[in-house]
Amino acid sequence: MQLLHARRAVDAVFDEANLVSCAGLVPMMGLAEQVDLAGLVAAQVRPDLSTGSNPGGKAAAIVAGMATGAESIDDLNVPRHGG
Amino acid sequence: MTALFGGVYAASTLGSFLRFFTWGHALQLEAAARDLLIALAAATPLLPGPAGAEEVGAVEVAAVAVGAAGGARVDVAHRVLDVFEGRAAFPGGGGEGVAQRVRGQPPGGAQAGRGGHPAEADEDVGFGEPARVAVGAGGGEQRPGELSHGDARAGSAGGDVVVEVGAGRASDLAGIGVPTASAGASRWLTLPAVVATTALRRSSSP
Repeated sequence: MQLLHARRAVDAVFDEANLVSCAGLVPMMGLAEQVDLAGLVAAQVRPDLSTGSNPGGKAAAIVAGMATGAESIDDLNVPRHGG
Repeated sequence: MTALFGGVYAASTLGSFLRFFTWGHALQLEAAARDLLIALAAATPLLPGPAGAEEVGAVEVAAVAVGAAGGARVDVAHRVLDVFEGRAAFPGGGGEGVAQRVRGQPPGGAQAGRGGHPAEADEDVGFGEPARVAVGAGGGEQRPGELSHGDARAGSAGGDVVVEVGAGRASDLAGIGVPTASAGASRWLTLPAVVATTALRRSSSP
């Protein structure tokens, strides 16, 4: 039998390093995947340096970052680390 | 090591990827963006319309500052005024229509518009009315990237959105799978807006 029914203090901690906080990316990148964003980029962009390898995936990652508000290269850490 | 691998390089980051872009790569990416827009338009039928909605839509001819051909007599202000902004977004309702406006005839006179087909000056098209846009009626005489200049016209035509494309452009469009139909000497396209915009831009790419 419970004696006290008052709510106890609750702590919410968001510290899972492997989670992306921008959940809105899920449907958006789902659509991007549906229309094959990465494939379209890979078909058109022809890198001539090793740094340009896998342009499709990187462009998709940049799109995701920009969708979360990234305005610089450093901001593109958002989809990796969470906002 | 060398027996196993031909070479090693560190994984490149998004930053190095972005920095490697040259102007040419940017154009390639732009081409990919056009493809993406076509794919998105196909995957997300957002444009409402009546039956046969494929024949209804909007046409946007992007704003382009036309290089005035008047030589030294055409000053910078004229060049600015020579900007063509043809935008049309249409029917079936929806509040996402944008203003349509064609500013064709430059102050420098007809000769200032390359190709000598100046658009009708300041013709406004009301929202909800169909637009008829003639693009590149001069055919192959235009250089790539000049599709959207003063010889394009937007007006109220009482029909679907129709894009008239010069013979050279029509073959370009046919080359990328955009359907065309002959109507006399010119060819007519009837397209969804987004695709029309994209196709026009795409056909103007080098």
